[in-house]
Amino acid sequence: MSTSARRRLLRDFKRLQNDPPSGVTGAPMDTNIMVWQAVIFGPDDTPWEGGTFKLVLEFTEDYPNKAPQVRFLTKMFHPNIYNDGQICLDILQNQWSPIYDISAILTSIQSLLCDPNPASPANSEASRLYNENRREYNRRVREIVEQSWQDES
Amino acid sequence: MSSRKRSSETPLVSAGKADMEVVEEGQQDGSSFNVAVKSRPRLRVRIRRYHGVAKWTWNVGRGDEEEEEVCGICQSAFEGTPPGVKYPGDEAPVVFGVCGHAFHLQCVATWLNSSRQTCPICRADWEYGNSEQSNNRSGGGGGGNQLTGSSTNDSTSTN
Ligand SMILES: [Zn+2]
Ligand SMILES: [Zn+2]
Repeated sequence: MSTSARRRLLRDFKRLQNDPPSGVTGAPMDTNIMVWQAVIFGPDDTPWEGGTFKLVLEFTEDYPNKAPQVRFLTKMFHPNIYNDGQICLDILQNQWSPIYDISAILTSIQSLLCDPNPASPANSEASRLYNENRREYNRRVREIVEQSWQDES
Repeated sequence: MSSRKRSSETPLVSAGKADMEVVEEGQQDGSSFNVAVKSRPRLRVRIRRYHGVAKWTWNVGRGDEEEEEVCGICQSAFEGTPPGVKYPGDEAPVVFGVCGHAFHLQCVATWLNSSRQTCPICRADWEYGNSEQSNNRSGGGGGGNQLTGSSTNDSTSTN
């Protein structure tokens, strides 16, 4: 069935293929265009470099008027990412706009990796280390990066 | 011989989508495109019928060349149809906010119903504006922005 959400998601998919943003990739599940799997690559020259972080995006029929549910499948260590993979990011919550598409969502999450928002901590330990002990924070991030390769299997 | 020449030249005059009749006249025209051919008969074209094609666009004051001509919400062309609308045009009018940003009427109305009353692009409080005003306000650099869509104004007022 063609709904406006599905139609928009098809356009998002086309745009993602024709004009792929760097460092992120995504595709709908074979069986359900309302559920997408995506990968964000850790940006170069940061502690996140080399990481491959998987996410799942779940859209509702209200898309693009409502943001999708986005969650990391890969274990993360980040001030704004909960242990269950949920992301605390304003554009996925109260700053959502219907002009965002999947490319915009994924690139925003990618830039959140290196640019945490201290105002909305979701992982208190990561927050604390980020503020007080950056060296240890970076070491923990490197650990996460290495773990992300093992998830590959 | 002369008939074969003529047929090779006919495409030059029948490139348009017109149904034409080529009439041969027994006279040489030295100034025509093929001067090498001596005593070539002059061709006169009589148009029997033509098929007019018109192109229309919503005038959304696109001063910025970078801007794509799509509605940011549905990502379909302004001239296309937003979700739930069968035919483009008056059924799917383009409306403006006072901030100068344009969307399909249906698209922005659904957004405003489901969320805060803000422009999806600039987050200013949404208020329907008329396109002439907003073109001026956004200063889009597009001199001579004519309102092709008087229907644009009609649609906002019916709201
Ligand atoms: Zn639209
Ligand atoms: Zn605006």
